[in-house]
Amino acid sequence: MKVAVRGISFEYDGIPALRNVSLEVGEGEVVGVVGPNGSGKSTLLRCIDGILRPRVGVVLVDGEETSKMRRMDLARTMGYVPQESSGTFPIRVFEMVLMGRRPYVNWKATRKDVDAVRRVLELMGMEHMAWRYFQELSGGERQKVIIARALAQEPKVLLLDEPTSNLDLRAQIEVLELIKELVRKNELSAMMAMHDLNLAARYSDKLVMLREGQIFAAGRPASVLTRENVREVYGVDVEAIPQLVPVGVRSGA
Amino acid sequence: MAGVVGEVYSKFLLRKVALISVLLLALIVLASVAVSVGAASVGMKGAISALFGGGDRFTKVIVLRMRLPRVLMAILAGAGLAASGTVMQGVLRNPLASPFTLGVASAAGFGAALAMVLGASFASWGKYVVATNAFMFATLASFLVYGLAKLRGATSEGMILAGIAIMYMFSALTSVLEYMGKKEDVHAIVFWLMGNLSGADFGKVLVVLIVISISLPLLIMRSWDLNALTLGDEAAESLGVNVERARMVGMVLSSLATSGVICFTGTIGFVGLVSPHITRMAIGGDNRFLIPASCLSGALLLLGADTIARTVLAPTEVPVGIMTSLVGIPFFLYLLFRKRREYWR
Repeated sequence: MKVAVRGISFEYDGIPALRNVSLEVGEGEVVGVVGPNGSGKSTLLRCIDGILRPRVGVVLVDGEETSKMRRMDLARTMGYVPQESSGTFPIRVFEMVLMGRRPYVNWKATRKDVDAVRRVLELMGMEHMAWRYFQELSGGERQKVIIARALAQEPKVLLLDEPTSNLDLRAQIEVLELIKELVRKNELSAMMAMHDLNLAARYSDKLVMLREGQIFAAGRPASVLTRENVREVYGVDVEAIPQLVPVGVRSGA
Repeated sequence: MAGVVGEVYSKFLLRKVALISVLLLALIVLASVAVSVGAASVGMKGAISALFGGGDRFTKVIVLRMRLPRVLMAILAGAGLAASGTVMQGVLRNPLASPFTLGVASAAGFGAALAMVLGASFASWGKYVVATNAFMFATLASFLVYGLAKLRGATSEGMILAGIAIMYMFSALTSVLEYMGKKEDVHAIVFWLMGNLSGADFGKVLVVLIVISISLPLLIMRSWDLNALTLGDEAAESLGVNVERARMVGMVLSSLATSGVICFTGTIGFVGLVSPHITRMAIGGDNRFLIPASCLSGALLLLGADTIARTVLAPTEVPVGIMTSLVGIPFFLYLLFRKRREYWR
Protein backbone atom coordinates (compact mmCIF):
# COMPACT_ATOMS: atom_id res chain seq x y z
CA MET A 1 0.00 0.00 0.00
CA LYS A 2 1.51 3.31 -1.05
CA VAL A 3 -0.72 6.17 -0.01
CA ALA A 4 -3.25 5.88 2.76
CA VAL A 5 -5.57 8.70 3.73
CA ARG A 6 -7.15 8.08 7.12
CA GLY A 7 -10.13 10.08 8.26
CA ILE A 8 -9.06 13.55 7.20
CA SER A 9 -11.30 16.57 7.67
CA PHE A 10 -10.64 20.12 6.62
CA GLU A 11 -12.50 23.40 6.89
CA TYR A 12 -12.03 26.84 5.34
CA ASP A 13 -12.79 29.43 8.03
CA GLY A 14 -15.25 27.15 9.75
CA ILE A 15 -16.93 25.95 6.56
CA PRO A 16 -16.35 22.23 6.25
CA ALA A 17 -14.77 21.16 2.95
CA LEU A 18 -13.76 17.60 3.73
CA ARG A 19 -15.35 15.29 6.25
CA ASN A 20 -13.76 12.09 7.42
CA VAL A 21 -12.28 11.03 4.09
CA SER A 22 -10.35 7.78 3.94
CA LEU A 23 -8.91 6.09 0.89
CA GLU A 24 -5.93 4.18 -0.39
CA VAL A 25 -3.87 4.31 -3.56
CA GLY A 26 -1.68 1.37 -4.50
CA GLU A 27 1.53 1.26 -6.51
CA GLY A 28 1.01 1.61 -10.24
CA GLU A 29 -2.55 2.66 -9.60
CA VAL A 30 -4.51 5.69 -10.80
CA VAL A 31 -7.34 6.83 -8.59
CA GLY A 32 -9.77 9.32 -10.11
CA VAL A 33 -11.57 11.77 -7.86
CA VAL A 34 -14.90 12.95 -9.21
CA GLY A 35 -17.70 15.07 -7.85
CA PRO A 36 -19.42 18.38 -8.56
CA ASN A 37 -17.74 21.77 -8.11
CA GLY A 38 -17.16 22.46 -4.45
CA SER A 39 -17.37 18.81 -3.45
CA GLY A 40 -13.80 18.87 -2.14
CA LYS A 41 -11.74 17.33 -4.97
CA SER A 42 -9.02 20.00 -5.01
CA THR A 43 -9.08 20.35 -1.23
CA LEU A 44 -8.47 16.62 -0.91
CA LEU A 45 -5.43 16.74 -3.21
CA ARG A 46 -4.04 19.80 -1.41
CA CYS A 47 -4.45 18.11 1.95
CA ILE A 48 -2.61 15.05 0.70
CA ASP A 49 0.22 17.19 -0.68
CA GLY A 50 0.49 19.14 2.57
CA ILE A 51 -0.36 22.48 0.93
CA LEU A 52 -3.31 22.44 3.32
CA ARG A 53 -3.06 20.93 6.78
CA PRO A 54 -6.04 18.73 7.63
CA ARG A 55 -7.64 19.49 10.99
CA VAL A 56 -7.92 15.83 11.87
CA GLY A 57 -6.76 12.63 10.23
CA VAL A 58 -3.45 11.59 8.72
CA VAL A 59 -1.91 10.95 5.33
CA LEU A 60 0.53 8.06 5.20
CA VAL A 61 3.05 7.27 2.47
CA ASP A 62 4.55 3.82 2.93
CA GLY A 63 3.35 4.00 6.49
CA GLU A 64 5.04 7.31 7.24
CA GLU A 65 2.93 10.26 8.36
CA THR A 66 3.43 13.11 5.89
CA SER A 67 2.75 15.80 8.50
CA LYS A 68 5.85 14.62 10.34
CA MET A 69 8.09 14.63 7.26
CA ARG A 70 10.41 17.51 6.46
CA ARG A 71 9.12 19.77 3.69
CA MET A 72 11.93 18.82 1.36
CA ASP A 73 11.43 15.11 1.96
CA LEU A 74 7.74 15.50 1.27
CA ALA A 75 8.54 17.37 -1.96
CA ARG A 76 10.77 14.45 -2.98
CA THR A 77 7.91 12.06 -2.30
CA MET A 78 4.97 13.84 -3.90
CA GLY A 79 4.65 15.73 -7.15
CA TYR A 80 1.70 18.03 -7.60
CA VAL A 81 0.27 19.41 -10.83
CA PRO A 82 -1.93 22.42 -10.09
CA GLN A 83 -5.05 23.30 -12.05
CA GLU A 84 -3.60 26.27 -13.85
CA SER A 85 0.00 27.29 -14.39
CA SER A 86 1.00 30.47 -16.10
CA GLY A 87 4.29 31.68 -14.69
CA THR A 88 4.45 35.41 -14.06
CA PHE A 89 7.61 36.10 -16.00
CA PRO A 90 8.87 34.44 -19.18
CA ILE A 91 10.54 31.14 -18.39
CA ARG A 92 11.93 28.48 -20.66
CA VAL A 93 10.63 24.92 -20.61
CA PHE A 94 13.96 23.59 -19.39
CA GLU A 95 14.03 26.04 -16.51
CA MET A 96 10.43 25.23 -15.61
CA VAL A 97 11.18 21.51 -15.42
CA LEU A 98 14.41 22.22 -13.54
CA MET A 99 12.29 23.85 -10.82
CA GLY A 100 11.17 20.32 -10.03
CA ARG A 101 14.70 19.78 -8.72
CA ARG A 102 14.14 22.45 -6.07
CA PRO A 103 13.86 19.80 -3.31
CA TYR A 104 17.32 18.49 -4.27
CA VAL A 105 19.48 21.52 -5.05
CA ASN A 106 21.17 23.94 -2.73
CA TRP A 107 22.27 26.68 -5.08
CA LYS A 108 23.96 25.19 -8.07
CA ALA A 109 22.07 22.73 -10.23
CA THR A 110 24.44 19.77 -10.49
CA ARG A 111 25.01 17.48 -13.43
CA LYS A 112 22.68 15.04 -11.72
CA ASP A 113 19.87 17.61 -11.70
CA VAL A 114 20.42 18.55 -15.32
CA ASP A 115 20.48 14.85 -16.21
CA ALA A 116 17.23 14.25 -14.37
CA VAL A 117 15.58 17.04 -16.34
CA ARG A 118 16.96 15.66 -19.60
CA ARG A 119 15.65 12.17 -18.79
CA VAL A 120 12.18 13.47 -18.02
CA LEU A 121 12.08 15.54 -21.21
CA GLU A 122 13.21 12.52 -23.22
CA LEU A 123 10.72 10.25 -21.55
CA MET A 124 7.96 12.62 -22.55
CA GLY A 125 9.34 13.27 -26.01
CA MET A 126 9.76 16.96 -25.30
CA GLU A 127 13.49 17.61 -25.84
CA HIS A 128 12.72 19.62 -28.96
CA MET A 129 10.84 22.23 -26.97
CA ALA A 130 13.29 22.52 -24.07
CA TRP A 131 14.41 26.01 -25.05
CA ARG A 132 11.04 27.44 -26.00
CA TYR A 133 9.24 29.80 -23.68
CA PHE A 134 6.66 28.10 -21.52
CA GLN A 135 4.26 30.97 -22.15
CA GLU A 136 4.33 30.36 -25.90
CA LEU A 137 3.17 26.76 -25.70
CA SER A 138 -0.33 25.43 -26.23
CA GLY A 139 -2.44 24.42 -23.24
CA GLY A 140 -1.70 20.73 -23.73
CA GLU A 141 2.03 21.29 -24.05
CA ARG A 142 2.04 23.42 -20.91
CA GLN A 143 0.22 20.75 -18.97
CA LYS A 144 2.85 18.24 -20.08
CA VAL A 145 5.63 20.59 -18.98
CA ILE A 146 4.10 20.88 -15.52
CA ILE A 147 3.76 17.10 -15.35
CA ALA A 148 7.42 16.90 -16.36
CA ARG A 149 8.27 19.29 -13.54
CA ALA A 150 6.43 17.05 -11.09
CA LEU A 151 8.32 14.01 -12.44
CA ALA A 152 11.65 15.81 -12.06
CA GLN A 153 10.90 15.74 -8.33
CA GLU A 154 11.30 11.95 -8.69
CA PRO A 155 8.19 11.40 -6.64
CA LYS A 156 6.47 8.21 -5.61
CA VAL A 157 3.11 9.90 -5.61
CA LEU A 158 1.64 12.07 -8.36
CA LEU A 159 -1.28 14.37 -7.63
CA LEU A 160 -3.05 16.08 -10.52
CA ASP A 161 -5.79 18.68 -10.15
CA GLU A 162 -8.04 18.53 -13.21
CA PRO A 163 -5.17 17.81 -15.62
CA THR A 164 -7.41 17.99 -18.69
CA SER A 165 -9.95 20.70 -17.97
CA ASN A 166 -8.60 23.31 -20.41
CA LEU A 167 -7.46 20.96 -23.15
CA ASP A 168 -8.94 19.97 -26.47
CA LEU A 169 -9.99 16.39 -27.11
CA ARG A 170 -6.71 15.21 -28.52
CA ALA A 171 -4.62 16.89 -25.85
CA GLN A 172 -6.86 15.40 -23.16
CA ILE A 173 -6.24 11.89 -24.44
CA GLU A 174 -2.53 12.50 -24.87
CA VAL A 175 -2.11 13.80 -21.34
CA LEU A 176 -4.15 11.01 -19.76
CA GLU A 177 -2.40 8.31 -21.79
CA LEU A 178 0.88 9.78 -20.69
CA ILE A 179 -0.11 9.79 -17.02
CA LYS A 180 -1.30 6.21 -17.24
CA GLU A 181 1.89 5.08 -18.92
CA LEU A 182 4.13 6.94 -16.45
CA VAL A 183 2.27 5.48 -13.49
CA ARG A 184 2.63 1.93 -14.83
CA LYS A 185 6.25 2.30 -15.87
CA ASN A 186 7.51 3.98 -12.71
CA GLU A 187 5.20 2.27 -10.24
CA LEU A 188 3.82 5.59 -9.09
CA SER A 189 0.66 6.12 -7.13
CA ALA A 190 -1.48 8.73 -8.84
CA MET A 191 -4.58 10.65 -7.88
CA MET A 192 -6.34 12.97 -10.28
CA ALA A 193 -9.34 15.18 -9.82
CA MET A 194 -11.56 15.05 -12.91
CA HIS A 195 -14.72 16.63 -14.24
CA ASP A 196 -15.19 14.45 -17.30
CA LEU A 197 -16.76 11.28 -15.97
CA ASN A 198 -16.15 9.26 -19.15
CA LEU A 199 -12.46 10.09 -19.21
CA ALA A 200 -12.20 9.53 -15.48
CA ALA A 201 -13.74 6.10 -15.84
CA ARG A 202 -11.54 5.21 -18.76
CA TYR A 203 -8.20 6.23 -17.26
CA SER A 204 -8.66 5.39 -13.60
CA ASP A 205 -8.28 2.03 -11.90
CA LYS A 206 -10.51 3.20 -9.09
CA LEU A 207 -12.86 6.11 -8.67
CA VAL A 208 -13.74 8.10 -5.60
CA MET A 209 -16.93 10.10 -5.86
CA LEU A 210 -17.22 13.03 -3.47
CA ARG A 211 -20.32 14.86 -2.37
CA GLU A 212 -20.11 17.83 -0.02
CA GLY A 213 -16.72 16.78 1.23
CA GLN A 214 -17.64 13.19 1.93
CA ILE A 215 -17.00 10.04 -0.02
CA PHE A 216 -20.29 9.05 -1.60
CA ALA A 217 -19.03 6.06 -3.50
CA ALA A 218 -15.68 4.40 -4.18
CA GLY A 219 -14.49 1.41 -6.13
CA ARG A 220 -14.19 0.20 -9.72
CA PRO A 221 -15.35 2.88 -12.18
CA ALA A 222 -18.32 0.84 -13.35
CA SER A 223 -19.58 0.39 -9.84
CA VAL A 224 -19.19 4.09 -8.97
CA LEU A 225 -20.60 5.68 -12.11
CA THR A 226 -24.08 4.25 -11.90
CA ARG A 227 -27.16 6.15 -12.98
CA GLU A 228 -28.33 6.32 -9.39
CA ASN A 229 -25.02 7.73 -8.09
CA VAL A 230 -24.73 10.36 -10.82
CA ARG A 231 -28.35 11.42 -10.30
CA GLU A 232 -27.86 11.58 -6.55
CA VAL A 233 -24.51 13.44 -6.56
CA TYR A 234 -24.74 15.66 -9.66
CA GLY A 235 -28.53 15.93 -9.90
CA VAL A 236 -28.30 14.88 -13.54
CA ASP A 237 -30.18 12.06 -15.23
CA VAL A 238 -27.91 10.04 -17.47
CA GLU A 239 -28.37 7.06 -19.67
CA ALA A 240 -25.86 4.88 -21.37
CA ILE A 241 -26.26 5.92 -24.97
CA PRO A 242 -23.81 5.01 -27.71
CA GLN A 243 -20.98 7.50 -27.47
CA LEU A 244 -17.62 8.28 -29.01
CA VAL A 245 -15.01 6.63 -26.86
CA PRO A 246 -11.51 7.77 -27.78
CA VAL A 247 -9.19 4.81 -27.70
CA GLY A 248 -5.92 6.44 -28.64
CA VAL A 249 -4.19 9.09 -30.69
CA ARG A 250 -3.22 8.34 -34.27
CA SER A 251 0.35 9.14 -34.88
CA GLY A 252 0.91 11.63 -37.66
CA ALA A 253 -2.62 13.01 -37.44
CA MET B 1 27.02 11.48 -21.27
CA ALA B 2 25.51 14.78 -20.30
CA GLY B 3 23.34 14.89 -23.39
CA VAL B 4 22.68 17.67 -25.81
CA VAL B 5 20.15 19.33 -23.56
CA GLY B 6 22.69 19.45 -20.75
CA GLU B 7 25.31 21.05 -22.98
CA VAL B 8 22.84 23.66 -24.15
CA TYR B 9 22.07 24.42 -20.53
CA SER B 10 25.76 24.92 -19.75
CA LYS B 11 26.04 27.36 -22.63
CA PHE B 12 22.85 29.01 -21.49
CA LEU B 13 24.39 29.63 -18.06
CA LEU B 14 27.70 30.68 -19.56
CA ARG B 15 25.92 33.39 -21.53
CA LYS B 16 24.41 34.71 -18.31
CA VAL B 17 27.79 34.78 -16.61
CA ALA B 18 29.27 36.52 -19.65
CA LEU B 19 26.55 39.14 -19.57
CA ILE B 20 27.20 39.79 -15.88
CA SER B 21 30.91 40.20 -16.62
CA VAL B 22 30.16 42.67 -19.40
CA LEU B 23 27.93 44.67 -17.06
CA LEU B 24 30.64 44.69 -14.40
CA LEU B 25 33.21 45.88 -16.89
CA ALA B 26 30.86 48.58 -18.14
CA LEU B 27 30.31 49.73 -14.57
CA ILE B 28 34.06 50.02 -13.96
CA VAL B 29 34.47 52.05 -17.13
CA LEU B 30 31.53 54.29 -16.30
CA ALA B 31 32.82 54.82 -12.75
CA SER B 32 36.22 55.89 -14.12
CA VAL B 33 34.51 58.36 -16.44
CA ALA B 34 32.29 59.60 -13.60
CA VAL B 35 35.22 60.48 -11.31
CA SER B 36 36.94 62.31 -14.18
CA VAL B 37 34.13 64.58 -15.34
CA GLY B 38 32.56 67.49 -13.52
CA ALA B 39 32.88 71.21 -12.92
CA ALA B 40 36.63 70.95 -12.36
CA SER B 41 38.32 69.12 -15.20
CA VAL B 42 40.92 66.66 -13.95
CA GLY B 43 40.97 64.23 -16.87
CA MET B 44 40.66 60.50 -16.66
CA LYS B 45 44.39 59.91 -16.28
CA GLY B 46 44.65 62.33 -13.37
CA ALA B 47 41.52 60.95 -11.76
CA ILE B 48 42.68 57.37 -11.92
CA SER B 49 46.14 58.13 -10.61
CA ALA B 50 44.49 60.04 -7.75
CA LEU B 51 42.42 56.96 -6.97
CA PHE B 52 45.62 54.97 -6.55
CA GLY B 53 47.22 57.60 -4.34
CA GLY B 54 49.10 59.62 -6.97
CA GLY B 55 48.54 63.04 -8.50
CA ASP B 56 48.58 66.55 -7.04
CA ARG B 57 46.73 67.63 -3.95
CA PHE B 58 43.99 69.55 -5.78
CA THR B 59 43.09 66.58 -7.96
CA LYS B 60 43.11 64.30 -4.93
CA VAL B 61 40.64 66.48 -3.07
CA ILE B 62 38.32 66.75 -6.05
CA VAL B 63 38.41 63.07 -6.90
CA LEU B 64 38.65 61.40 -3.51
CA ARG B 65 36.67 63.77 -1.30
CA MET B 66 34.05 65.09 -3.67
CA ARG B 67 33.45 62.68 -6.49
CA LEU B 68 34.36 59.25 -5.19
CA PRO B 69 31.78 59.12 -2.36
CA ARG B 70 29.11 60.25 -4.74
CA VAL B 71 30.04 57.71 -7.38
CA LEU B 72 30.15 54.94 -4.78
CA MET B 73 26.81 56.05 -3.41
CA ALA B 74 25.27 55.97 -6.90
CA ILE B 75 26.58 52.44 -7.44
CA LEU B 76 25.40 51.13 -4.07
CA ALA B 77 22.05 52.89 -4.23
CA GLY B 78 21.37 51.72 -7.78
CA ALA B 79 22.33 48.17 -6.87
CA GLY B 80 20.25 48.13 -3.70
CA LEU B 81 17.13 49.60 -5.28
CA ALA B 82 17.32 47.37 -8.35
CA ALA B 83 17.81 44.21 -6.28
CA SER B 84 14.89 45.17 -4.03
CA GLY B 85 12.65 45.78 -7.01
CA THR B 86 13.63 42.45 -8.56
CA VAL B 87 12.82 40.56 -5.40
CA MET B 88 9.56 42.42 -4.78
CA GLN B 89 8.33 41.79 -8.32
CA GLY B 90 9.20 38.13 -7.92
CA VAL B 91 7.73 37.39 -4.52
CA LEU B 92 4.59 39.40 -5.26
CA ARG B 93 4.37 37.99 -8.80
CA ASN B 94 3.57 41.47 -9.98
CA PRO B 95 5.47 43.40 -12.64
CA LEU B 96 4.36 46.71 -11.10
CA ALA B 97 5.79 46.04 -7.67
CA SER B 98 8.70 48.19 -6.56
CA PRO B 99 9.92 49.73 -3.32
CA PHE B 100 7.48 52.53 -4.10
CA THR B 101 4.30 50.56 -4.60
CA LEU B 102 4.70 49.07 -1.14
CA GLY B 103 4.77 52.29 0.78
CA VAL B 104 8.37 51.94 1.95
CA ALA B 105 9.52 54.97 -0.01
CA SER B 106 6.63 57.23 0.87
CA ALA B 107 7.03 56.33 4.53
CA ALA B 108 10.72 57.21 4.33
CA GLY B 109 9.72 60.49 2.71
CA PHE B 110 7.35 61.24 5.56
CA GLY B 111 10.02 60.39 8.14
CA ALA B 112 12.49 62.73 6.48
CA ALA B 113 9.91 65.48 6.12
CA LEU B 114 8.93 65.18 9.77
CA ALA B 115 12.55 65.50 10.86
CA MET B 116 12.98 68.58 8.65
CA VAL B 117 9.84 70.30 9.89
CA LEU B 118 10.93 69.65 13.45
CA GLY B 119 14.14 71.46 12.63
CA ALA B 120 16.66 68.68 12.25
CA SER B 121 17.81 69.62 8.77
CA PHE B 122 19.87 72.59 9.88
CA ALA B 123 21.51 70.99 12.91
CA SER B 124 25.07 69.73 12.52
CA TRP B 125 23.98 66.09 12.97
CA GLY B 126 20.85 66.92 11.02
CA LYS B 127 21.56 64.83 8.00
CA TYR B 128 21.82 61.70 10.14
CA VAL B 129 18.70 62.61 12.09
CA VAL B 130 16.77 62.99 8.84
CA ALA B 131 18.17 59.71 7.56
CA THR B 132 17.50 57.85 10.80
CA ASN B 133 13.94 59.09 10.91
CA ALA B 134 13.40 58.17 7.26
CA PHE B 135 14.77 54.71 7.95
CA MET B 136 12.59 54.26 11.01
CA PHE B 137 9.43 55.19 9.19
CA ALA B 138 10.33 52.99 6.22
CA THR B 139 10.78 50.06 8.58
CA LEU B 140 7.53 50.93 10.33
CA ALA B 141 5.75 50.91 6.96
CA SER B 142 7.15 47.47 6.10
CA PHE B 143 5.92 46.07 9.39
CA LEU B 144 2.52 47.66 8.85
CA VAL B 145 2.30 46.11 5.41
CA TYR B 146 3.32 42.66 6.67
CA GLY B 147 1.01 42.92 9.66
CA LEU B 148 -1.97 43.88 7.52
CA ALA B 149 -1.17 41.33 4.84
CA LYS B 150 -0.67 38.60 7.41
CA LEU B 151 -4.28 39.02 8.49
CA ARG B 152 -5.13 37.70 5.05
CA GLY B 153 -2.54 34.93 4.95
CA ALA B 154 0.28 36.96 3.37
CA THR B 155 -0.97 36.54 -0.20
CA SER B 156 0.64 38.69 -2.85
CA GLU B 157 -2.63 40.53 -3.53
CA GLY B 158 -3.04 41.25 0.19
CA MET B 159 0.47 42.66 0.41
CA ILE B 160 0.10 44.85 -2.66
CA LEU B 161 -3.22 46.28 -1.49
CA ALA B 162 -1.89 46.87 2.02
CA GLY B 163 1.24 48.45 0.54
CA ILE B 164 -0.69 50.82 -1.69
CA ALA B 165 -2.91 51.84 1.22
CA ILE B 166 0.15 52.58 3.36
CA MET B 167 1.75 54.48 0.49
CA TYR B 168 -1.26 56.79 0.14
CA MET B 169 -1.47 57.29 3.87
CA PHE B 170 2.13 58.44 4.17
CA SER B 171 1.92 60.63 1.04
CA ALA B 172 -1.12 62.32 2.58
CA LEU B 173 0.75 62.85 5.84
CA THR B 174 3.72 64.32 3.94
CA SER B 175 1.33 66.65 2.13
CA VAL B 176 0.02 67.80 5.51
CA LEU B 177 3.57 68.72 6.53
CA GLU B 178 4.19 70.50 3.22
CA TYR B 179 0.95 72.39 3.57
CA MET B 180 1.61 73.48 7.15
CA GLY B 181 5.40 73.78 6.99
CA LYS B 182 7.56 76.89 6.72
CA LYS B 183 8.68 77.87 3.25
CA GLU B 184 12.29 76.75 3.63
CA ASP B 185 11.20 73.45 5.17
CA VAL B 186 8.87 72.80 2.27
CA HIS B 187 11.69 73.53 -0.12
CA ALA B 188 13.94 71.06 1.68
CA ILE B 189 11.19 68.43 1.68
CA VAL B 190 10.51 68.79 -2.04
CA PHE B 191 14.23 68.58 -2.75
CA TRP B 192 14.54 65.45 -0.61
CA LEU B 193 11.55 63.81 -2.28
CA MET B 194 13.04 64.32 -5.73
CA GLY B 195 16.03 62.33 -4.65
CA ASN B 196 19.64 63.32 -5.05
CA LEU B 197 23.12 62.07 -4.36
CA SER B 198 24.80 65.40 -3.71
CA GLY B 199 24.97 64.85 0.05
CA ALA B 200 26.99 61.65 -0.26
CA ASP B 201 30.03 61.26 2.01
CA PHE B 202 32.10 58.30 3.13
CA GLY B 203 30.12 57.90 6.36
CA LYS B 204 26.87 57.42 4.48
CA VAL B 205 28.53 55.21 1.89
CA LEU B 206 29.76 52.97 4.69
CA VAL B 207 26.32 52.64 6.25
CA VAL B 208 24.70 51.82 2.90
CA LEU B 209 27.48 49.36 2.14
CA ILE B 210 26.86 47.54 5.41
CA VAL B 211 23.09 47.36 4.87
CA ILE B 212 23.47 46.11 1.33
CA SER B 213 26.19 43.61 2.01
CA ILE B 214 23.95 42.05 4.64
CA SER B 215 20.71 41.97 2.69
CA LEU B 216 21.76 41.18 -0.88
CA PRO B 217 23.77 38.01 -0.24
CA LEU B 218 20.92 36.70 1.91
CA LEU B 219 18.53 37.34 -0.98
CA ILE B 220 20.78 35.76 -3.59
CA MET B 221 21.15 32.70 -1.36
CA ARG B 222 17.38 32.28 -1.49
CA SER B 223 17.22 32.41 -5.30
CA TRP B 224 15.56 29.02 -5.68
CA ASP B 225 12.82 29.93 -3.25
CA LEU B 226 12.29 33.21 -5.06
CA ASN B 227 12.19 31.38 -8.39
CA ALA B 228 9.64 28.94 -7.02
CA LEU B 229 7.44 31.76 -5.71
CA THR B 230 6.99 33.14 -9.23
CA LEU B 231 5.35 29.83 -10.22
CA GLY B 232 2.45 30.34 -7.84
CA ASP B 233 1.94 29.62 -4.16
CA GLU B 234 0.61 26.09 -4.61
CA ALA B 235 3.38 25.07 -6.96
CA ALA B 236 6.04 26.57 -4.68
CA GLU B 237 4.57 24.86 -1.64
CA SER B 238 4.56 21.49 -3.39
CA LEU B 239 8.22 22.02 -4.31
CA GLY B 240 8.99 22.20 -0.61
CA VAL B 241 9.08 25.96 -0.15
CA ASN B 242 7.59 27.48 2.98
CA VAL B 243 5.71 30.07 0.93
CA GLU B 244 4.61 32.41 3.68
CA ARG B 245 8.04 32.53 5.28
CA ALA B 246 9.92 32.84 1.99
CA ARG B 247 7.70 35.74 0.96
CA MET B 248 8.12 37.47 4.32
CA VAL B 249 11.90 37.03 4.35
CA GLY B 250 12.15 38.30 0.78
CA MET B 251 10.08 41.35 1.59
CA VAL B 252 11.88 42.14 4.85
CA LEU B 253 15.33 41.92 3.28
CA SER B 254 14.42 43.95 0.21
CA SER B 255 12.66 46.55 2.34
CA LEU B 256 15.77 46.76 4.49
CA ALA B 257 17.96 47.37 1.45
CA THR B 258 15.51 49.97 0.11
CA SER B 259 15.24 51.81 3.41
CA GLY B 260 18.99 51.77 3.90
CA VAL B 261 19.45 53.45 0.53
CA ILE B 262 16.64 55.96 0.30
CA CYS B 263 17.07 57.30 3.84
CA PHE B 264 20.26 58.92 2.46
CA THR B 265 19.36 59.56 -1.15
CA GLY B 266 15.71 60.54 -0.96
CA THR B 267 13.15 58.84 -3.12
CA ILE B 268 15.05 58.03 -6.26
CA GLY B 269 12.24 56.78 -8.35
CA PHE B 270 12.16 54.25 -10.98
CA VAL B 271 15.48 52.42 -10.72
CA GLY B 272 13.76 49.80 -8.60
CA LEU B 273 10.98 49.33 -11.11
CA VAL B 274 12.80 49.52 -14.40
CA SER B 275 16.21 47.94 -13.87
CA PRO B 276 14.70 44.57 -12.94
CA HIS B 277 12.61 44.55 -16.11
CA ILE B 278 15.44 45.60 -18.38
CA THR B 279 17.67 42.97 -16.80
CA ARG B 280 15.04 40.24 -16.88
CA MET B 281 14.57 40.83 -20.60
CA ALA B 282 18.30 40.37 -21.14
CA ILE B 283 19.18 37.56 -18.76
CA GLY B 284 15.94 35.73 -17.96
CA GLY B 285 14.09 35.16 -14.71
CA ASP B 286 16.49 32.89 -12.79
CA ASN B 287 17.19 34.92 -9.65
CA ARG B 288 20.63 33.38 -9.18
CA PHE B 289 21.74 35.51 -12.12
CA LEU B 290 18.95 38.04 -12.24
CA ILE B 291 19.63 39.62 -8.85
CA PRO B 292 23.37 40.22 -9.39
CA ALA B 293 22.75 41.43 -12.93
CA SER B 294 19.97 43.75 -11.74
CA CYS B 295 22.34 45.21 -9.17
CA LEU B 296 24.83 46.01 -11.91
CA SER B 297 22.28 47.44 -14.32
CA GLY B 298 20.71 49.49 -11.53
CA ALA B 299 24.14 50.80 -10.59
CA LEU B 300 24.86 51.64 -14.23
CA LEU B 301 21.55 53.40 -14.68
CA LEU B 302 21.84 55.45 -11.51
CA LEU B 303 25.50 56.29 -11.94
CA GLY B 304 24.94 57.23 -15.58
CA ALA B 305 21.93 59.36 -14.72
CA ASP B 306 23.74 61.07 -11.84
CA THR B 307 26.80 61.81 -13.95
CA ILE B 308 24.60 63.40 -16.58
CA ALA B 309 22.58 65.18 -13.89
CA ARG B 310 25.60 66.91 -12.42
CA THR B 311 27.36 67.75 -15.69
CA VAL B 312 24.73 68.50 -18.32
CA LEU B 313 23.76 71.91 -16.93
CA ALA B 314 26.93 72.43 -14.84
CA PRO B 315 27.38 74.18 -12.51
CA THR B 316 23.63 73.74 -11.94
CA GLU B 317 22.51 70.23 -11.00
CA VAL B 318 19.41 68.42 -12.11
CA PRO B 319 18.06 66.19 -9.31
CA VAL B 320 19.06 62.64 -10.14
CA GLY B 321 15.56 61.31 -9.54
CA ILE B 322 14.37 63.36 -12.50
CA MET B 323 17.32 62.30 -14.61
CA THR B 324 16.88 58.57 -13.93
CA SER B 325 13.35 58.77 -15.23
CA LEU B 326 14.34 60.84 -18.26
CA VAL B 327 17.16 58.46 -19.12
CA GLY B 328 15.50 55.23 -18.10
CA ILE B 329 11.97 55.54 -19.45
CA PRO B 330 12.77 55.84 -23.18
CA PHE B 331 15.22 52.94 -22.94
CA PHE B 332 12.70 50.86 -21.04
CA LEU B 333 9.88 51.57 -23.47
CA TYR B 334 12.11 50.74 -26.40
CA LEU B 335 12.99 47.36 -24.91
CA LEU B 336 9.45 46.65 -23.84
CA PHE B 337 7.90 47.20 -27.24
CA ARG B 338 10.73 45.68 -29.20
CA LYS B 339 10.57 42.48 -27.18
CA ARG B 340 6.87 42.46 -26.45
CA ARG B 341 6.30 39.14 -28.17
CA GLU B 342 8.45 37.34 -25.65
CA TYR B 343 7.76 39.52 -22.71
CA TRP B 344 4.35 40.16 -21.16
CA ARG B 345 1.92 37.34 -21.74
